[in-house]
Amino acid sequence: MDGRTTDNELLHNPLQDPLLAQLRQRPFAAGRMPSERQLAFIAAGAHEARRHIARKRRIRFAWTGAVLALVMLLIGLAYAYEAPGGIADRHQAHAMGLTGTIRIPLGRTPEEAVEKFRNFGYMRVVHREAVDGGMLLFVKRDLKQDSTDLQIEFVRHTWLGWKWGMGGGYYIGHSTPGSTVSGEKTLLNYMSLPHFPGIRGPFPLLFGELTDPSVASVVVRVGGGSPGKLEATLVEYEPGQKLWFVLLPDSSAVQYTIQALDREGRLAAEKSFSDQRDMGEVKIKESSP
Amino acid sequence: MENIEDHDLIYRTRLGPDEMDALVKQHWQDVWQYALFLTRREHVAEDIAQETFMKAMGAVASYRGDGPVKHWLFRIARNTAFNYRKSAFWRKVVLVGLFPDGSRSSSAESEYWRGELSNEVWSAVWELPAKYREPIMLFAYYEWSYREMAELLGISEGTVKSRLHRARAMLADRMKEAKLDGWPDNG
Repeated sequence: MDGRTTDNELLHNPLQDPLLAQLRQRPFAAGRMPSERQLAFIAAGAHEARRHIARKRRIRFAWTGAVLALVMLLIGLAYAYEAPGGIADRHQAHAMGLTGTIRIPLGRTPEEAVEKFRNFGYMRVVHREAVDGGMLLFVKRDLKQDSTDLQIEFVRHTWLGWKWGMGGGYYIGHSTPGSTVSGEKTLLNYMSLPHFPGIRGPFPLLFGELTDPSVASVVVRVGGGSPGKLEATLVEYEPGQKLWFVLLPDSSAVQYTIQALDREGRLAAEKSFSDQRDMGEVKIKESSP
Repeated sequence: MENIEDHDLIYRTRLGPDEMDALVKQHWQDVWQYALFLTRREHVAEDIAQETFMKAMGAVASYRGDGPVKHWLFRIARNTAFNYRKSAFWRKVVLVGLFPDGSRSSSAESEYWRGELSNEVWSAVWELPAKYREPIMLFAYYEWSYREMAELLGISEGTVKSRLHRARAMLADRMKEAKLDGWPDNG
């Protein structure tokens, strides 16, 4: 048997180990007791330690209370601001030119926020576009046969949920895709939503639907502080059904020119307008058969 | 006053003067002895024991009953000794040169206490380095488990076992050197 094994066995059975058995005896034969002075010192020290702990606890409670009160205050202020009928809604009503206030409900989703505020009855969201501060919803209400409609709604993301911010839409009758009226063919329709002072959102913007498959791209030329041209985003939301939109810079100003281009990039038709709330169609004259 | 049972202390937030004195007297010998084996200096051991009880009596609520009161006191004593060693280092650095013979007096004191020990094995333990002295004392005299020692010392159980093994081997060697009879030859 080697020494290591023996040592391990003895360590596990200390009483069988004469060395360890000796260590079961008290190290010092004489006992030791604290003096009266030491006891008094300990009692005084313990009293001071308790006072110190109590003082630390009071300070900790005070800080915790102050932080909790501050958090509650911030939550209260934030709720008062964003809750339906709160400060944000009052500001929005004021910005919209209303004399009273409005009550914009909260939704768990962008769709729910729009449904609760608009009460459309029927609507289908054909496209969602995330933008700074929220979401743009493109909504069709299918108001009437042989017509087209498109609604755009900006929904803000708040810490309480989603909240309607601003939106608008249009309805154009007798505008079946590629329809010909009085020798003209509609290539696309549009609506312009301007920037509303005091209202947050990705405005100004232009949006609409392509009604003729020959249109491959849409370009918008803008005036104002940063004139130039912007290419629209095209979205095929259903087979053969495309919508378009373009978010314009804040500094852009009318006049706006919408250009419809074919697959070769050639200008098929264009339309200019000076009203920032304009809506309508871009048409091309139908060539004679 | 009678001894205070460990479980009587679990739900207490403070003790009366008599209870405090009783508890101090009940555990003073062990705490002082443990501190003396840690430091090998009587006045330091007295200071550590006194400070340990001051802290413990001032924070009775910190004892949660997850082990014997003695273990709780030893934890406080160990931390106190550790802090003392840190501050003593600085004292030593500041005072070096002023008391050139300080180490000699300390060694004489250690020699005195070695002579006061109850048997030769304890004398051999006294001479072991601190990292072996402490676990062998806790294991052999206070009967702490490996897990309890590992928690107190902040090391793994494996390291505890290895230190105990090494400590015992060193003790056996020292006893052989002293040519004492009756010890098993583990070589």
